[in-house]
Amino acid sequence: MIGMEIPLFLWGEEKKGSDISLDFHNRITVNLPAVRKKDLRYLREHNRAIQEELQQLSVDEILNFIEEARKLWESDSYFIKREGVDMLSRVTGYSREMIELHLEQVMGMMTREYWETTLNSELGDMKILDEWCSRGEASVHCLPRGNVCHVLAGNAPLVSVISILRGLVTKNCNIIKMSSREPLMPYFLIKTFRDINKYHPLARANTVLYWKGGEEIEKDVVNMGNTVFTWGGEEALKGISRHLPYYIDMVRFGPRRGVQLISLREEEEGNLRESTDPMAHDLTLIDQEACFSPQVAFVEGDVDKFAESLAESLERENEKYPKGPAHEHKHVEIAHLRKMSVAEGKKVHHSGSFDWTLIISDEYEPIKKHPLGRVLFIFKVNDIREAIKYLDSSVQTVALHPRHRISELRKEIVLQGVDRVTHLGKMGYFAAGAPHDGTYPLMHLVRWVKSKL
Amino acid sequence: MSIKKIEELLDMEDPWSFELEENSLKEAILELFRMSFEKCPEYRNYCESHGIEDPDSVEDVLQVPLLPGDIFKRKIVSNVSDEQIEKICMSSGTTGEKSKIPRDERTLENSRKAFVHAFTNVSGVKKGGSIGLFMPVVPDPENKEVTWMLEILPPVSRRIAQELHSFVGKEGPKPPAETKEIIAGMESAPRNLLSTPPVIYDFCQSLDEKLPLDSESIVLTGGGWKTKKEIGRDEFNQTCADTFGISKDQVRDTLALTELSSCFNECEYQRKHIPPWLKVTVRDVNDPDTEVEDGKEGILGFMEPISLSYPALFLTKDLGVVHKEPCPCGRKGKTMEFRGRAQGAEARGCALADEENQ
Repeated sequence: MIGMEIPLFLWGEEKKGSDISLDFHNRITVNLPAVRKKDLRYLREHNRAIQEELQQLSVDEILNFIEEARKLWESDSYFIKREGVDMLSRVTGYSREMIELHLEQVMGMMTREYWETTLNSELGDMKILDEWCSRGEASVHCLPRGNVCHVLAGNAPLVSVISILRGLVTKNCNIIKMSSREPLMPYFLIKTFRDINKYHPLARANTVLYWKGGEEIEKDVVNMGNTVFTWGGEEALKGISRHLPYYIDMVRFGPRRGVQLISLREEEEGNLRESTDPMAHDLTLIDQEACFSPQVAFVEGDVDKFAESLAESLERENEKYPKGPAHEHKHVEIAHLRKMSVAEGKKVHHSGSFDWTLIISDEYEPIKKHPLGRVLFIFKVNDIREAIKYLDSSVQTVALHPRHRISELRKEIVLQGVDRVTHLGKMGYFAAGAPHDGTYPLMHLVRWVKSKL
Repeated sequence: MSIKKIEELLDMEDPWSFELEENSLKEAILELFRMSFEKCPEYRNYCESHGIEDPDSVEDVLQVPLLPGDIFKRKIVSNVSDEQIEKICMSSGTTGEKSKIPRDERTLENSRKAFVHAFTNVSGVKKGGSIGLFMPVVPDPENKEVTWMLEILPPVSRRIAQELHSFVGKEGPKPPAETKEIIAGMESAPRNLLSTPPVIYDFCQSLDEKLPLDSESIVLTGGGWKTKKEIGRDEFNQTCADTFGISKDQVRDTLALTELSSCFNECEYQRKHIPPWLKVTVRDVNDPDTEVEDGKEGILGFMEPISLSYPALFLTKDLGVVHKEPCPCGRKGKTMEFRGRAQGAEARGCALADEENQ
């Protein structure tokens, strides 16, 4: 088994050690130091100076720096492609191919274009972070909140990068809690910043820590944030929120799910791949571990033919992006679910192993427990409109096929509590400048100030 | 006929001292299979979905389709008519879906005998002593739906012990001081205690002085720690030994599932012995239709031909191992190690996996 040691970062300074050992199912062990009380004292003592340095940077300088990091990540000779992919694959349990695809997405979110679009869309005009701008009858300026605390989730490495960069582009200092499921990505990003220039304010504006959720130190750390971004499941959200006083804004991302609505046109019956190929891609991404991942599909049309085509699409997709070992512990549950479905008279298609599973029913029933790991429940409906009543605010993303029906049905869908309507194959691809989980996250990271000359 | 032969084991003095003919259990399982196929529509449909149209075509127990255990949580799966069902036995606990197992009088009686054998012949609870239970001992005869442990343990304890005491009153658990007085006042030796590990542990912790039992007393536990922080087995045994003045090997655990009419009890070597009327089949995690060899971990499945009122042919979601090596205690048959649910990674992130938590 491979072992590696990663440091913590205290305002960009490395703190080495190996007090804690995280084992990832015998694929890799990650050792890292524990956070001590004196570390928190250091953070408090140096916080103000770093906040002030960061405030001196223009957005343009910040975006240039992020671009530099992206260029390094694109290089075959840099450690990310050389070693990082393999390490991430071992830690997450996703296949190498899946990690490579995921990193492409991450790099797409490290471009100047992405952040310009995002800033302009979320704040109206990115200049407002650098200077006073006229808004109505006043001069308005956006200031950072100060510190953003990020409690990260381990399902998708992208989460770390997007969360950290949101903090930096709004000139906030980041205090990052690594996820015990995926501690590498924050380390990779801050290491890259240091490789560019370890004295740069953007390299020094980040603190990366690890503790086991619920430990005593948690309360002290999250209370250093002026805003807290919490990613993850119910336990993480509950655990963090109980530490926070009313004046600290906590923004929650997760837990949610995706749903696919498919209406098959008659002329499509001979070419089902048009819908099943992109559908399989949505299901395959991150092995169904993401908040957008489809868990349920409602199909109007010949479900049996459709399922056969989807099975073939999933086989092809699995060749491109093989399912990793992340879900081996779920095999018992998935096997039991398959048997239960057969016992209840449902049709079950599966890969023969545990690469994917389709469970087909004529009548809708709520899914109380979902094992994830590329398992899709398909319900037959006479009209996809019927399925809209089964949507609720637990659904983040709905993918609709055919896509021309999006404009017809989206209002009805979002009124059910859904935040995002897209088309098949795009559930895992978020448009720059679009809201996230019903909000513009950057709005939680700035303080709007006004002046009248 | 084969089932009757297996049921005769229940009337023996010590079924673990008897070398069962290899085919006897197999024949009884196949008889239960054919009976369930004929009398239980859900099971027949399930078999048909596995390509079995004629039950007589099945000659090997490994061809017998095992129901997923969760099916008992969704519906009442029965081999008998509603009128024949004496009790619908439910799992304990206050959350989640409960299994509901229909038992007729014959199955209930088989079960009482099976439990008595496991408690006395394996765990060494002496007949004629006294048993203190941390649960009510007067079941409600009016209710058809019962909690399995509350239904089975009081009559089983009555058959074993001369004296039976409950440490639970109408208002709930009795205060430790009162419980201590009851134990001290039990007249028939040996005095035995029966409860879940956390209840026994908390009782031990609540005492300000030792409460010595008798030289042959047994502390019999069953069930898990549920929401309580689990204490290691060694520490638990030591706590009991220190509190009750017994040796650590007098603490014996029981594994009982609502879906089974038997239980697995520990001997003095703290190994759980499989009753001779029950087949534990350990299945490949990646292919639950295939049995793994003894000694290897897999998914636990059970075939129990003393449970006649329902298809006691099912697969759990729990992991375990069957050991064929003889136990040093000298009892015949195999032993079983229960390892619980497959250990998953902790919740990873943003995908909603459990709507019950919403």
